[in-house]
Amino acid sequence: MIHGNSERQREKRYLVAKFLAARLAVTCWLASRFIISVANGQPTMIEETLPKVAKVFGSGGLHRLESWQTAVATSGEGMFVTAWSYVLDAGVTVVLHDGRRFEAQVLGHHPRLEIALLKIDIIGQPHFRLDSGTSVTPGLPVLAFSNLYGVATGNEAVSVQHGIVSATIDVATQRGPRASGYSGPAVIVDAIISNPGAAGGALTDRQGNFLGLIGRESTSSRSGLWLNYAIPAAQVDQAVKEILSGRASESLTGGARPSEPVTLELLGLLMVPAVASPTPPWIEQVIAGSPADRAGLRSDDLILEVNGTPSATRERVLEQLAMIDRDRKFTLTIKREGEFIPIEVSLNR
Amino acid sequence: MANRYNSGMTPSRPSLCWNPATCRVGPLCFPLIGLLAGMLVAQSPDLDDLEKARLAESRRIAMIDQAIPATISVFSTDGQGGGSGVVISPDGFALTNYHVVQPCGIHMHCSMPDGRIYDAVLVGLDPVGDVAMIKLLGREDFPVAAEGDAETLRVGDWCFAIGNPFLLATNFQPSVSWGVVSGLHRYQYPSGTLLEYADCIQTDAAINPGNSGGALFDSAGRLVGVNGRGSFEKRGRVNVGVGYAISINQIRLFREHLAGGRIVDHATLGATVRSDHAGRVVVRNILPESDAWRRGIRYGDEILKIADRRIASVNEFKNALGIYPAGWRVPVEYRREESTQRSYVRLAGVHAPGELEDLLRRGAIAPEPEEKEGKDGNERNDNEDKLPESALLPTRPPIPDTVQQMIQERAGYANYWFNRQRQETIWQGCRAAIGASPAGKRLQLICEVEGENPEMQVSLSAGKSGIRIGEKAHVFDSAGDPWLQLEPAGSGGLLPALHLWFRFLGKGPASMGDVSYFGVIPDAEGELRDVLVCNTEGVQVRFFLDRDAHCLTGLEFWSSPDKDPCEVLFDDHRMVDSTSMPHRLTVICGDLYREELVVQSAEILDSPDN
Amino acid sequence: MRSGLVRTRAAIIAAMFAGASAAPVTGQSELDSWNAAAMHHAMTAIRPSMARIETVGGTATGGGGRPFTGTVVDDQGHLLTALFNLRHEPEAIIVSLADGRRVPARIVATDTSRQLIMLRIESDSALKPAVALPARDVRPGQTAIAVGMALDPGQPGMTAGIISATGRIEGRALQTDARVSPDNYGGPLVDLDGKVLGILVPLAPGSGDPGAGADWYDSGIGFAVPLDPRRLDSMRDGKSLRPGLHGMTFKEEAGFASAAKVSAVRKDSPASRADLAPGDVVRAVNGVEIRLLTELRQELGPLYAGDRVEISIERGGVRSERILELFENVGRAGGAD
Repeated sequence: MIHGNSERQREKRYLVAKFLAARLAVTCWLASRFIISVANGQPTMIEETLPKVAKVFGSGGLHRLESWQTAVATSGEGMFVTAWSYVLDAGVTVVLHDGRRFEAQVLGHHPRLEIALLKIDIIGQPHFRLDSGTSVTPGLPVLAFSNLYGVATGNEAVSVQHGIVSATIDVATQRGPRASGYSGPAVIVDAIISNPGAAGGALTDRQGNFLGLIGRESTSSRSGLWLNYAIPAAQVDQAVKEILSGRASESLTGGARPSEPVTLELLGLLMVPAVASPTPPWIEQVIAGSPADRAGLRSDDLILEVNGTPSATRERVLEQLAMIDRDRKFTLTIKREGEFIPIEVSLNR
Repeated sequence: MANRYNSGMTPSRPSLCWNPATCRVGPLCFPLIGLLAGMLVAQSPDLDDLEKARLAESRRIAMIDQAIPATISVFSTDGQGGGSGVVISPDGFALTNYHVVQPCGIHMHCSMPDGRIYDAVLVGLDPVGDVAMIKLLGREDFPVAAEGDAETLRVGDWCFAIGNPFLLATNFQPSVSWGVVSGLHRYQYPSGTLLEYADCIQTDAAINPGNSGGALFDSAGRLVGVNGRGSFEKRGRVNVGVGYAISINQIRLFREHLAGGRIVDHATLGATVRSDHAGRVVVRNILPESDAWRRGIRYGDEILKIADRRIASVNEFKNALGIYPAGWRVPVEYRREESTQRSYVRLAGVHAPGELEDLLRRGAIAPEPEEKEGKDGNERNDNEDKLPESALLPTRPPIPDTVQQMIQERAGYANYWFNRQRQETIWQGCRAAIGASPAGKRLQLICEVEGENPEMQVSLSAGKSGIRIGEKAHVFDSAGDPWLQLEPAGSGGLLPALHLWFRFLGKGPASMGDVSYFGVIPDAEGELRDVLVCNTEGVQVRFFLDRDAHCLTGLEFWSSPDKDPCEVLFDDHRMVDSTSMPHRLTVICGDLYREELVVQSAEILDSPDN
Repeated sequence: MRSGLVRTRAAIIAAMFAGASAAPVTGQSELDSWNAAAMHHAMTAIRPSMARIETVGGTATGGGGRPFTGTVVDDQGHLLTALFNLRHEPEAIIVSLADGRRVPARIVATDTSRQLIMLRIESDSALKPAVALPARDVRPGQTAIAVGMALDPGQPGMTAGIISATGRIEGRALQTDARVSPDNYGGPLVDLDGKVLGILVPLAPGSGDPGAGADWYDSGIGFAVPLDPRRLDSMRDGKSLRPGLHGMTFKEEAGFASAAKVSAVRKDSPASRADLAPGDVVRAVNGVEIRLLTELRQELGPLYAGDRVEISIERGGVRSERILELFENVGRAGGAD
């Protein structure tokens, strides 16, 4: 070390050192960004993915039913896709990862795929692409993002689980001994994603590409085991397009109410009474010789759609029938033994 | 606040949100190494995915091999149940869950992967945090888990659990399950006031009954948590991908309390909060006898930060406080109207004195029952014939002498023996630091009071002590009650505090009534200190000691639990004759009284009478 | 000179070394052995030895009618599956092989100790047997992939995890945290090369019921029993294997730390024939020293009826050797012989 440097020289050296340190700092910072994306990819991907998944709170809480589930953002303008369930029956709130809360509008739903579309008032929302086109085969490593067990509240991020794709098959599911659940193509994974509140969560690959929407908690009709499944991205994408096209808007706007609408009495139908809200539109009994009987409706049929418009609940079916003039033919889509059957109904002989 | 527990810890992983302007140069270079390593991996064209998988597998096996030896299975000696644990010191101190040891009593068996069974004795309990400390006997060279830092975890990191689910480890080999960190800073509600999992780690590594008390390791094989809970509602007692671990960082704050044989309570601010319509966390209720109240926090105040953690939800409030033992002090930042205040608040206990013990005595615990062997308490085996029912009644073997000598029951303690050990170790160190005992002598101090004119003369002896400031003299008579002689005014009792301090210097804890080792907590300046609590003559004196040098660094004199104590910090120790005496004293009482005393002359007189 | 710079550089270099030891280079990807290529590699190797099995008829209570998985263990038409899958004693068994053929099968023998059942198909072309990894080479932390044919007839289903422990259920089984369920019972647990670590079966400690342990499905605790060529040979010969009964009873006087001290001896059992008596302490089994009851069980657990065991007992401070010929565990569950 040499003593006797002038103050100025010392200051200059100090500034040079400071500049180099700062430059190094920036370089390191950039490098760290790079590294994390190269050597340590998953955490960054996960941290980027978590904001795309939201917590949904709605109705429920009775009969030990949880009143929450999960939703995934599909557009920057606040479109979220989620599982179609009773949680959406009243006052739906979407809570983002940072704790911001939004009242959500249910844009519509797709009863066959059990998918619903929500809208909140936001711009710049990080979101998934539903059409990433990633091929899903057994053995593909995956991640599941969901608010299972409602573990996350407020500004907490949803939970992450890891696994691989076990199989891609068509499934038929049950929710209890009576109610049949989702039927259709599914991605089966070895992560335990069939849990309360997980429905509507995202299944992604390890790069964060959307592979499917976590389905509602249900057991396999075949084996009786809890089934860890997601509805494949292609089906979700299709459902969203169908909801956004005319059918969903029709169900929202409605038309002029006829002076003489169709009623259950005229049809000869008894629905399962509204003991719990919401009651699914199950047919309890069909009066012999009635128009419903002639059309081929049977007890235990579940009404999925009225004239192609989804009918989520018993109440909804009544509303939909009230919009139909009793002189007109109409179509009920019912679910019977896991199959979807359109049935044409007419009150006139 | 300096946190000694973290010294020697490895620095955290590079985080994404560095501000280069405020960061020191050191940590910024960590990624550079990572970059080079990363490029090696990324740019090796020969290393295809399959080879990567093989490499990953061999690394994983090596890491698990390294982690296994320090893990233990905990068994009740009557074969009535058990769980898991992990050894954290070579002399056998180990962590497990409160709910694992609760049915075991004070003596238990621990098996280790070396194929041996060790006797173990209960040391300390944290029933609110569901943590217990036990000590395995018989070795001074137990394998120890490398400790990590839960704050460096990130969601999605690999992690693994080692434990004894369903007590399957009949061959001494624990079960390892692999997973990711599913969530951080989770809050899981207590049952009643016990078993609260605040600020815990959520993992999808399989955690099943029997894993309780076992270790959660990070992706470098370092201990980051103690597994204790899962969301089991759905399938009864079987893992469904959601397990929770108590963060090792929380346990570190309790470590010395537990090692001191205590039943430790958790901290509360003495206030409840709610989230208002604007998403602010505001005080809903506050106890007027709490320190938070004395420090100025009132109904409606918005809590901004606790211990430098931002509070934006009720869960964050509970997480921030739930990791501390009662008696800890944290800075609290709060806002009233437009002004932001910062206070250093002493945290109270969740339970009233004696209440926690009562709960434990009444067995008020409703955890998931830990794994039990068989149905009748004895392992069934199809290859063996059944004994008559009477013969199957569980029996507890007698406690061996080596264990018995480490057991001392006393109300308020999990095992008082360990508390006594701590008291003795600390006093021995402290006595050495003091040097010649001033017992039977008189100490005369002449102090300059910073910022004030008249000097302060202090005279201390076993009988009468006094303080003279200018013309004003205060006399303390040991024949009277200390809590009635709190001079000088506003100090909270500086004179009785110094009187009792001098007694402690002379004769140690034996002269201080009922004495207990408390644990390690921060002092008025945020330094972590060993604390001895002495209850004598209706007052409480807490002595703060340096954790390594054992010298006295301060004391608190409490005339009443609901009033601010007189705090004295000792500094600038110099030898007076052969006795070490502080030459700088800082006296604090609440927010209003603060004096800096600089000793100008100190004399130790042989005659106690002045 | 240049003191400022030197200091800065020194700090940087020091920090780099500090960083080298501190920053965990082992990130997420470096411990990930479950990438798609590795899974595909393992699957390709095991695929030809996988079979999907369906049954016709049988009792409903056994959970029949569900397709399940079998593993081809030799080139003579023998498959293993879990006894669990055939509890319903079906009228007919149909095996779908990897090459698409569907062939009838019959039951050859059972192993009620490890809950296995061996089937034989009549096949004119040689099957590709699964390659087994010797049990001694299996280590905790090793990649474990559970493979089943129950979900998809066209393609094996997979779950992935690690080996959690070896020597489970009194020395009979490996434990894995890969999800194991009726979807893959009877299938193999394989390593990264598709080599068989064991056959997936439900097991529960202290129970010989073929259904026991199924309630732990997908819990992260699954079991696979390693293949023992010698035992497979006897099964091929139509000889069913049963747990060996010794006739000794023990009292757990100190829980897990209880000694192997005989508390009672069953009449006309191997133990009584070898003149064992209450109070005897077992000190060794087949030359392996024993200190604890749990160790004795670990040694005896893997043995079958008919096996000969040399045990060393201590009575009144004197050690002596005895030979036990283990009994059949008469009257226990099992399929046809």
